[in-house]
Amino acid sequence: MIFNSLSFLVFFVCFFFLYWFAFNRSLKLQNLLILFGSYTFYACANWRFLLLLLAVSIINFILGICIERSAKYKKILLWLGMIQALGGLMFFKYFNFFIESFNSLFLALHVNISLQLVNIFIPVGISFFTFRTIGYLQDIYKKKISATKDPVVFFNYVAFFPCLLAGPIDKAKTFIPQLEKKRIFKYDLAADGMRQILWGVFKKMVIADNCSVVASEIFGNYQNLPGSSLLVGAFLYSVQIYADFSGYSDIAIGISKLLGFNITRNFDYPYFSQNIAEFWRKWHISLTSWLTEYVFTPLNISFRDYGRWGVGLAIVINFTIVGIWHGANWTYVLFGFVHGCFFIPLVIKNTINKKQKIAKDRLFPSFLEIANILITCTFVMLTFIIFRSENILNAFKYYKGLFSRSLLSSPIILHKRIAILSLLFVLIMFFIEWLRREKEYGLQIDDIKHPIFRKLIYCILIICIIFFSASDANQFIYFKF
Amino acid sequence: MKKFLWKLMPFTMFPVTMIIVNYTVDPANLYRKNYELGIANYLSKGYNVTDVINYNERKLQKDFIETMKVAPSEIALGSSRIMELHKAEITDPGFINNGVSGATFEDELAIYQIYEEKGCAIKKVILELDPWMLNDNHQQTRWKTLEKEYHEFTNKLNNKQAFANQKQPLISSDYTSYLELVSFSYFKTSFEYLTRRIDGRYKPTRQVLNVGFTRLTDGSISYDSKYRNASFTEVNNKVEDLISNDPVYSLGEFNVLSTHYKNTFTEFIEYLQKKDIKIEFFLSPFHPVVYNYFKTKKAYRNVFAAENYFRNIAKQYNIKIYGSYNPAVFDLDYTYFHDGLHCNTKALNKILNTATPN
Repeated sequence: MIFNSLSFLVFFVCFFFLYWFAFNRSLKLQNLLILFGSYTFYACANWRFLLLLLAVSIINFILGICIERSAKYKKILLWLGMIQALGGLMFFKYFNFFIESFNSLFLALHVNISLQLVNIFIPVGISFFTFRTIGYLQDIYKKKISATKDPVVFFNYVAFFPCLLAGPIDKAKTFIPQLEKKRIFKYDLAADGMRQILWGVFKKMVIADNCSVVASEIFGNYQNLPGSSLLVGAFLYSVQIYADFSGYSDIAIGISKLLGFNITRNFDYPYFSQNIAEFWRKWHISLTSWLTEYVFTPLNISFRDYGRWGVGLAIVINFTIVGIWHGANWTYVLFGFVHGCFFIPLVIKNTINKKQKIAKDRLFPSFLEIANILITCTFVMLTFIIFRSENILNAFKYYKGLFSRSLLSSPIILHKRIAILSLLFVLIMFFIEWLRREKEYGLQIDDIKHPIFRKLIYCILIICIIFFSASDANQFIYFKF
Repeated sequence: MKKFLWKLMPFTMFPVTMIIVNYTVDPANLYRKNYELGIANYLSKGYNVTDVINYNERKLQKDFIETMKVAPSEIALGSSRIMELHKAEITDPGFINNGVSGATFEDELAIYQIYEEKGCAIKKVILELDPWMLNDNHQQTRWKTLEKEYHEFTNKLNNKQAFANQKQPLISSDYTSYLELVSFSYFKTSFEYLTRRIDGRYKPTRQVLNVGFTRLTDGSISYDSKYRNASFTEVNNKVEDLISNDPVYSLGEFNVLSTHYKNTFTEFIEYLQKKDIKIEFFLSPFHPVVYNYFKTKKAYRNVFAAENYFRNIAKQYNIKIYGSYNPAVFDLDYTYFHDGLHCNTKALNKILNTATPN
């Protein structure tokens, strides 16, 4: 039941009316309905892991209360929670990866140990709900929040269906209070949510899915294509992943707004960033801020004696974790590591935290800003080749093909019409996002006072979605993470 | 809340318009229940039918068999990769080709069941076998049009238990067609039909080769002239298009040869042999580029395993086998192909005249 499917539309319309008309009298009932809806939603994705989700919720709920109450065993209980969460994640997501890596390592040393792989299905959303529970226990341990005593509230925090499968990863201190407070329907919030959903659907169905057709064509046949085609493929893939994931996040946040929740923003126009640090402050914000709080900061404190080198090391480790979080493949590890390394010049120059507002009070950016954006985006685009490739060897073969003489030849693309259409819509999307860069998302046009003009924009977008969405709907990329 | 809902009301014009246009134009004839029956009636009366577009092939097979005046003695069951096999290439005048696009074993069993229901005494069955027929994750759902017939047939098989646990759909396939009313891609096609004034009406003809796609009286097909006469570049583009898809047609997640389908297949063979029905296997070749692509990708290793499996079964049950997935076995170059999956009649003739050893 993906967000842009008919089944989800039917599910959500029913849910919405029950939520605001039948269950609105009592907060408890509303929360119970959310829980029921979330578990139904999860069961539709994969019912087999519903028990796992329930078990994780129960364990962490109890651990949360115990950590808060116990003075003596606080740390042990926290470690228990971490082992349980990370152990589950390691087992389901990385077990075979470690086995394969060990086998390869020993084979390279001429020792054949041949450890058997296990047939494991990865529970959808495990990376997301695991991080939520880890953050929750850490916050209780550090006394940033108190443990919730209401199991329904906690279970909802873990399984809130708009954010269950691919985030955003909300922190307990911002989300749980919203579950504990009576929600009243607010027109402005709901209208904003609808706009955000529309923008998200547009990005997913018109941009990401169309880019995906051409990018898949090129990545699937890169050995036989000229460098110019590979450049188009790399560019469209980097747009695809952005439009796909930020589109998903917009829909998730929009749906939450329709239910009266404010969810952490996940993207802040990352492709207008002037350096890699800014890019990561704007890309998958909920994950990076989570890792900053729970991984980077403790590491940075540990390495403080080493000065800038310590900061650099903490960043490289942090981003290698960001990489491996995406999945069990060396490509992700390398992707994260390279991104971490790209921070080093900023660490040396001590400009890592320097926030530069782009084209402030101006319509167009300066030449320097354009150059910075181009450098950052080119780097990101090139590293997404590693991210997209099946293995590191393939990624390097792709680079070899890309940086060959054929880079200057005219590109060969089978789906030319789709490629042109995609490029056109990509330009439109970036143009709109540039104009609305101060807003939360591209279509936040509540400041346009003329209602007919606003409605016209909505209608144009809907018509684009109907006529230009790709024929084959794709699963959201981040569902597999 | 009232204000919110009122403001949303004008936007309901989009789904409402879509439903109306999709229902009235109906480019795939989903809601015109007699479309396939009309074609079947012509075929049974000895006419070929041309300009046939967007129809339910399974429903046509059912209507075709039910309206037949003379029962066939020899039939071919399989996918679109055998649909160009004409009566002319088979010596038996009572030959009927019952191939359907994207066929799975469910289709083959169900179509055979329709013959049994009608009381036809079939003497020989040519089973065209595709690798995806052994893939649990083939993602083919079109057979569900004949779901009833499929389940009726499996009830007759020895190992009923193997089929007892099969998933029954929550919604019948008759109703799933109504989901197309709100489908964007269906609306796009409807809109195109509307603006280009395509009426989608078929015509009876005595000719075999026509400008439009034609269904022939023996159940086989002849492609439209553009497809038949595609240039090397056009065929090559289709081939590239096919292999650029990940996964290639119905072969995604082909991790193992399905135990369920292997059982279904052998049960079906045993059932036919018990009834003294002669069986022959037919393996339709892939385009050389596609075949070589499979060789380079680990994900498609089971394409070769499937061929080996079919060959072993042929040996075990003493069944004659024609063809191979490997085009090199018959020296088939690109001139023998319409696209990556479909060889032409020239290739079929060549294969049928060369029995391959098991």
